Amino acid sequence: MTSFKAELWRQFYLYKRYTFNYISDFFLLILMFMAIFWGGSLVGGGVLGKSLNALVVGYVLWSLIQNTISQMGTTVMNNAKSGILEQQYLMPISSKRLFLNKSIVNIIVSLAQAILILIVVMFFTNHWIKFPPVMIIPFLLALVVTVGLGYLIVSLVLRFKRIGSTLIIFQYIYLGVLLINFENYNDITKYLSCLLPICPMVSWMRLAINNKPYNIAFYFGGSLFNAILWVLIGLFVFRLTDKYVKKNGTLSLY
Amino acid sequence: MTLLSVNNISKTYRKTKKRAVSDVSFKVNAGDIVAFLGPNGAGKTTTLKIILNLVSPDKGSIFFDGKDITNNNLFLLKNTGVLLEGSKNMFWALSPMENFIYWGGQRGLSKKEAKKRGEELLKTFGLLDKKYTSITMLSRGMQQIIGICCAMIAKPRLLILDEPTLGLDINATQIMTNSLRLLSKSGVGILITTHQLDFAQEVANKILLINHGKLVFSDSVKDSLERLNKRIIFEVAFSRTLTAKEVEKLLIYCEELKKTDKIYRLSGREKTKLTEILKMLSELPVIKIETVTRGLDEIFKYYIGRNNDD
Repeated sequence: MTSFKAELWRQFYLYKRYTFNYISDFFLLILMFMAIFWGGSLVGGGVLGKSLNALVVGYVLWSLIQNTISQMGTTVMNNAKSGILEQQYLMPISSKRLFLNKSIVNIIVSLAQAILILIVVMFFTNHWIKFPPVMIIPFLLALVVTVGLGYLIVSLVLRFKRIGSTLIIFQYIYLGVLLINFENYNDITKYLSCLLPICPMVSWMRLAINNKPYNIAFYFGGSLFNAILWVLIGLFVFRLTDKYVKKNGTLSLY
Repeated sequence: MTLLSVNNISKTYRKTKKRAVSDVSFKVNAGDIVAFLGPNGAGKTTTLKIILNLVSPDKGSIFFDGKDITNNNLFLLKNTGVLLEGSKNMFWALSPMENFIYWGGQRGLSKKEAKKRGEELLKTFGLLDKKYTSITMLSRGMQQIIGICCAMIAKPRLLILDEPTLGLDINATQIMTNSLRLLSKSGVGILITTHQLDFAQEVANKILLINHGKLVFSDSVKDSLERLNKRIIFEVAFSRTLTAKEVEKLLIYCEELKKTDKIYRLSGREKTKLTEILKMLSELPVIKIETVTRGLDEIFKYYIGRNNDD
């Protein structure tokens, strides 16, 4: 637990040291959200309509996942470059645990930021979104997938070292995938979408927030399967990569 | 008591096909300060990384406190402080105290414990007033000391330091030497790699010399220096070039290494008494005479030179 707390303190000290930069980032994100919100309202006259709430929530979720994953990739890349990563591998905790701590801290920070932004945006637009309580389940399962994706990103960094451009490509591909309303497609496509990370959770949240009828057993099962699948894939790939870098002595090479 | 036992470890990097380490074995006991020496690329860092499981060995085993840690070294890491390649074990945007809280936390210390221990360490090294200064604002030497403090934060039983004196001035090196001696007296085993042979000679009680991945020399510093300095060596300057007859006379008592026409390095032959050498020298035009004490550099030159010639 002390290792997790230490990771949390480190993040706090960084926020304290670079307060101005983080406040600027925060305002930038609020402006982006406002633009999406008002843009969505304008288009929403006929096309989006009631799905405006879903758009805002979807974007919050996407930015949360994106922040967490890209922050993870960037941090590990910088740590590998400076030699810190090697030193972190010398701590008496497993490398799996080390990156789990990092993922959870990133999730907490990004989550706090996303909630704050959402409250500010709702306050300024006077458009208060009502969240059905059931949404908490797909939301938490989506965060679990984020941990699995975090392991995948770390594996890519450990194996290929510089993956800045890959992270950007990944970001846009993923935004595209999340915007597809798989819930409106046929059953086969719906089942297949359960293989794509976070897709069943996003469909579930969209359906819940728009008060549409849906098969809760399917979405719960699909989301649970999706969360377990991506955590296992992440851990498996991470384990292989960890072995590879140790065998080849490439942990510190950047 | 043996803390660390390294047995016949070997490693060949697959990509470069380079045999980085070959059948290396040694021990570090509690209270030992072992200097691990060798030229660049000799295999020192690879050996350390194998011990720390950052690189997997092709063969061999490693034991810490009697337990096999070759494939699972959490037990070693719990009891070991490490500083690899200078001061890279720190977050540069944070202060020393914030770094202590982070690295102490990773080693199981609470924030309060890490702060207390950090203050003790900073006091020892005379850097208490820098505890809230960002690492980037500190001098190279101070950064190095903070790096070492981070390695020592959880009172390790074994300390592994890769080039700990890099960038340190004379005062800081002396503080470091004293601190390492203190730690060693309290039973901490210390393994150091360094290129500074005078520092190694001053601080270490054992030396390991590695070249081309092979351990070429391993002995206690005291014994090897005693052996090396068994025979008296003089450096003698003469006011003029010696004649052939005078050199002949010199060689009756001494083996000689001519440095220049007027300066000779002489070592007394076995069973030759010091008084006989001095008597012989009194008959020659000596203007300066100095005894020479040989240090680790001689051993280093001998083994590394010989192996590099092979």
